[in-house]
Amino acid sequence: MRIRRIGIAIVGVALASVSLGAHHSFAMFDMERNVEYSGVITEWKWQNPHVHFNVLVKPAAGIDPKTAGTWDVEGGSINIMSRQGWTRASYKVGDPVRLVGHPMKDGSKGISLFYAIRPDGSRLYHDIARPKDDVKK
Amino acid sequence: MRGSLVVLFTAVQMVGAPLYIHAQSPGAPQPHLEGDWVRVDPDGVNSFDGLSAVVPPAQLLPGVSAAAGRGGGRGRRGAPPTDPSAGPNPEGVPYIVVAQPCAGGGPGRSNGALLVNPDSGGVHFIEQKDEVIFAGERGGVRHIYLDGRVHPNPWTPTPAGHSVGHYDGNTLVAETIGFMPGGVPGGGVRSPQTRLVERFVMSPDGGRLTITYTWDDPKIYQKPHEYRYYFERAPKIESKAGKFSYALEEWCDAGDPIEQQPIVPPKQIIK
Amino acid sequence: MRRLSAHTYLIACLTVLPMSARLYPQEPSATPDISGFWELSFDSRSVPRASLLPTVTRARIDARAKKDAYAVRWCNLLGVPFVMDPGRPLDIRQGTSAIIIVPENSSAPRYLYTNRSAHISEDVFDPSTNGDSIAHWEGDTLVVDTVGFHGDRGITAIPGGGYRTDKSRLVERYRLLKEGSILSVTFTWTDPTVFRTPHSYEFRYQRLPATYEPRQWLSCDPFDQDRAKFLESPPAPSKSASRTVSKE
Repeated sequence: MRIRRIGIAIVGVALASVSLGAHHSFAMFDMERNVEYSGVITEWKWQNPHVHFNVLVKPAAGIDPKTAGTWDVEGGSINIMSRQGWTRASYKVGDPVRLVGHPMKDGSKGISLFYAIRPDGSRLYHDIARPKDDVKK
Repeated sequence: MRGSLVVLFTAVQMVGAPLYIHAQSPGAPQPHLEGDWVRVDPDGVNSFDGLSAVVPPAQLLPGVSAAAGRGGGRGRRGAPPTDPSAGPNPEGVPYIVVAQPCAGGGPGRSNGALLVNPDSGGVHFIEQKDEVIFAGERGGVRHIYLDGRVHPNPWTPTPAGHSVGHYDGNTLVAETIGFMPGGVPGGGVRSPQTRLVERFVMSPDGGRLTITYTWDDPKIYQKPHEYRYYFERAPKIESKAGKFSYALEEWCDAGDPIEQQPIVPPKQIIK
Repeated sequence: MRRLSAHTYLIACLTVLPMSARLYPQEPSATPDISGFWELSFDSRSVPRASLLPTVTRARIDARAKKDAYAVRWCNLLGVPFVMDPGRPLDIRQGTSAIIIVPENSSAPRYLYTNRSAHISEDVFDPSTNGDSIAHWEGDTLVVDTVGFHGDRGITAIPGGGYRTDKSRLVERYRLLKEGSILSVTFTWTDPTVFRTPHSYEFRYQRLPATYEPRQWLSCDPFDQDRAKFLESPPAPSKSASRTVSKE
């Protein structure tokens, strides 16, 4: 699975709660594609039903100009993300962030969060699913 | 002297009667299952929906219809849109919406149903000699009775059935019947007569838990349908007061308008 | 005393040693066990009126009542204090790290943690309807301290008056009475925004038979329009009730 880097100068992370509804559709995302983004958080909402944040990508050398702009990043419920190591204090507005997610199929700037990459290279996963390169048998 | 021994023997019997060896009885709970756990993905399936794909398909009897797409997954691939929005979506308004808003008392997650097929939420065990409580922080509680009781008859089927259990060494073995009809991971089906045996097996270091599910029903399955889920101790949550593991409360307000957005997201305004 | 013969010694060993094993008493339990099924009866509550601050006006109380009604209307988690008097029995199980209190209806169970003595700090703890409870034994009394309540979720009304806020603190004392057939729980609420003085009341739960079977939750469908109308619209007064009663 190819991961393309997308430079993001400013990532706004708005963490919005997503419903805790039992039937959540990921049909709008390309769950087979993992794309890397980096930028700065502009809004951060740590609340249910889903954690939600905004990421602002600024044009830069090596960045596909079509990817510049503001991205909506959808996480999971607070509890599910807490169990993966997230807390309310994991990020705040103005923090730089690198993340890998599944983009919207229709090309609009929406991402289903897969994991964030900490400065030390370790990963903060959204959910229990893992890529093949990061499993513990 | 012999008489003294007899007296001694009798006295010991009388004194010893209410006393007993301080040893754990075979049925007493082992304390290590207790605590907080979270499911893990040992196969690298890349998404939550992929977790259900690794469950082997159930071998159903001819004429028994598979319960397509049920169990094991939180997402629904290809779910049809219900009420497409007409207008654009301002930046920052979440567009991930749900097909069915939360409902605290509904059958979906209440009454322990979710704990028959745990998802990504934390689960918790409290062990007491007469009962193990298996609770999920995404809703519901299961009672696994260890006190020797039998399944009630009659019994009105419920989402999580009726569970009795015992310890086989360090393994908690639970037997459940009395389910409401429904699906089972791997395309299986269950009825109130279907029997589920769960074996909760700890790793030697107590850090990993494997739950082996075996569904059996001579009217449904060609052979018992078996699969495994894996769990690890939930990581402790770090705070200024220290690192602790504790149950989280999952809040859901069905009256929140955000819960009732259409499943098809409005087109996003791209800046 | 004549020396015992060898065979007498042998008989004594074979007889007494197993008995001595039985003689070794089970280590007495250090703490009581409040596990069991417990239920409140009609005469189980001793609740005085709370002493409220002057700032707790009628308007504030009414506003709170509206929020509580909303929680009921939308089948939300109801939390403490409701979960301790939910109209159905409680299943209490005392484990080694925590005591869990499981209501038999639509509310999250309570965890009373006995494996820590500090509350989760505010920077990471998400306030909840049940708060964060830590517990320890003082002799035969389980003392539970709870903070971290959410001020706007669930049913916040407190028996005797007042309501829970994010500033509330609840201390409970659990004791077994009458040879374990009664579980006494004394609740003491403090809140600098609500109570003039600490507000205490007591419940006495009766123990149900160990063979009791918890029942399934009753249905709560927030989208049942008939139910919504029933909860949101009080019935109109009956016409017959408005007639003057004859003095005959």
